[in-house]
Amino acid sequence: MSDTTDAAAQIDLVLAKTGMPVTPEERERLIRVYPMIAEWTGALRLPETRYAEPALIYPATFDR
Amino acid sequence: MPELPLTIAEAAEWLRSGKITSVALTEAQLARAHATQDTLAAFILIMDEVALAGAKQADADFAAGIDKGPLQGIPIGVKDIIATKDAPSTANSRVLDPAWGQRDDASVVKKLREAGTVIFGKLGLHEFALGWPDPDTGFRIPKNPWELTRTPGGSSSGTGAAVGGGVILGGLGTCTGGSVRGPASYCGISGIKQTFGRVSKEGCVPLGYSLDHIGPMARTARDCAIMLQVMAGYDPLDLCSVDTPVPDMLGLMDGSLAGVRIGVPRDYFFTVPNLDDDVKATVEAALDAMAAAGATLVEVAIPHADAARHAQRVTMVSEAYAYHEPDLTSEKSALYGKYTRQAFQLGAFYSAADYVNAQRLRPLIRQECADAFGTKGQGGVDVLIVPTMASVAPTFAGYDPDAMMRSYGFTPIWNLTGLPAISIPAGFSDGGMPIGMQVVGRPMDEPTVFKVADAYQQITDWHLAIPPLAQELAKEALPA
Repeated sequence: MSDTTDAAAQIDLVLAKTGMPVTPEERERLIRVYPMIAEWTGALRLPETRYAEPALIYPATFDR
Repeated sequence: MPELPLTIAEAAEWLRSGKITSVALTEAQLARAHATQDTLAAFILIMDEVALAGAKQADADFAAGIDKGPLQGIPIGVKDIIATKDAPSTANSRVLDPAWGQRDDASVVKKLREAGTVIFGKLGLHEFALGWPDPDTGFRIPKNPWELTRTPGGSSSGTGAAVGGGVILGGLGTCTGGSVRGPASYCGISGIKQTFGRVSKEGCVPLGYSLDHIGPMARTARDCAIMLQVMAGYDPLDLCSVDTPVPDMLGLMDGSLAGVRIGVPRDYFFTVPNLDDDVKATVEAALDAMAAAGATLVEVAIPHADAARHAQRVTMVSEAYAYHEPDLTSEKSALYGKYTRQAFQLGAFYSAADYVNAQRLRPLIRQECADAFGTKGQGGVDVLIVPTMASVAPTFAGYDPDAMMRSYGFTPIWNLTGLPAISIPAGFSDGGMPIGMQVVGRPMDEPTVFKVADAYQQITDWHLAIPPLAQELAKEALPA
């Protein structure tokens, strides 16, 4: 399959799962930008953060 | 007939010397606001009656010897994504349930009122603080006061337009990735995103829960400090609020750059391909001026600055999608402006692991920033200075949202790290459009940020430049 076909399949899968309505124009745009999304999320996976703790803190208190 | 004051600090002096009353100031600014709605279109709602009532109260308090501080009697605009008890809130959207805004003031508005501020009106914005203006949504589109065919930036577009256009002296913006500093840069004014947690965001429609800030925008760094002094402080109603003392925001302002150490991370911030030559030359010239005034420039590095941009976007859009999912997946989806809807739609395509990986990157970037700052007094630097935006304000015509997403940015990293960052005017392009630069500080060290920004504004007058449109206003709308 081509990259475009792969992207279209991924887009359609997510749209079906979420039930998010999109126009044909929006679907085409999502297919077009999907490689960019993949590039961004790929850039988040760094060797330096392999064992890093995420910046997520939940204060275990009744005060807030 | 007297002219109007140019800054909040000046207006505060005039109000106390009897040179002007709050009612006269407010009436003149109301006249400016109405006169520019067909051009600048800065406001969603101009609150004439509320503003005049507030002004009368401020004058009555002055007459009774009650002085609540430098904001007493000063008209301030509120971005229309922040709740006010006496006006609806729209977030510039047909999607937001009107019932959301039927509540008490947001915590920060409450603080401003307690300080005697005159709440003046609700300012325009990009829908839900994201996206791009879409005329189909039925809201006016704020324009850049320096050139009406250009954007004032976003998402605090109305605040940038109104302050830059000389309509009001100060206003509230919100900032998740640059929405205070971008409009400040494009409109030739000052605007700060303080340390995350310093100002409560209770009562503001969220965009990115872990990145959102409500920040002041005004002509000068000093005015921003005056506003932040009132806005800051712990609020148990905001889970992200930090319970720490509020320092004297103006306490370090001595007008001097002598001995100040400025970190300059040239790699990325001065080298990305979309950085305009005008912007680079302007910020380099500002650094030279600061060095000539006694500052020391130190080369520093933030190696993963580009990855920070991606982490901010994944975090912001994921958090926004979680908030908007019920509307995006219902018939209400059609009510969003098309650019907003398209921006939010991307949130469905990030995985949970993507989001957590973005959060795992945050401590790495924070450590790199800590390393760049070093230790104060032991070779470390007091602030970092980088450009605010890569270019001057773009024109509305030819907008390409996907190209915008691809371009490098210098503001999101400070939302990701939570560090305080102010944008101040640093000069103009060859075409006459304002250019801003950011002064970035250590966590909770806004006083040093203000000291450096104010000292720069003592040796330059870029922040006092007035667009021709505002000069015309000054002739037409003088106080009686």
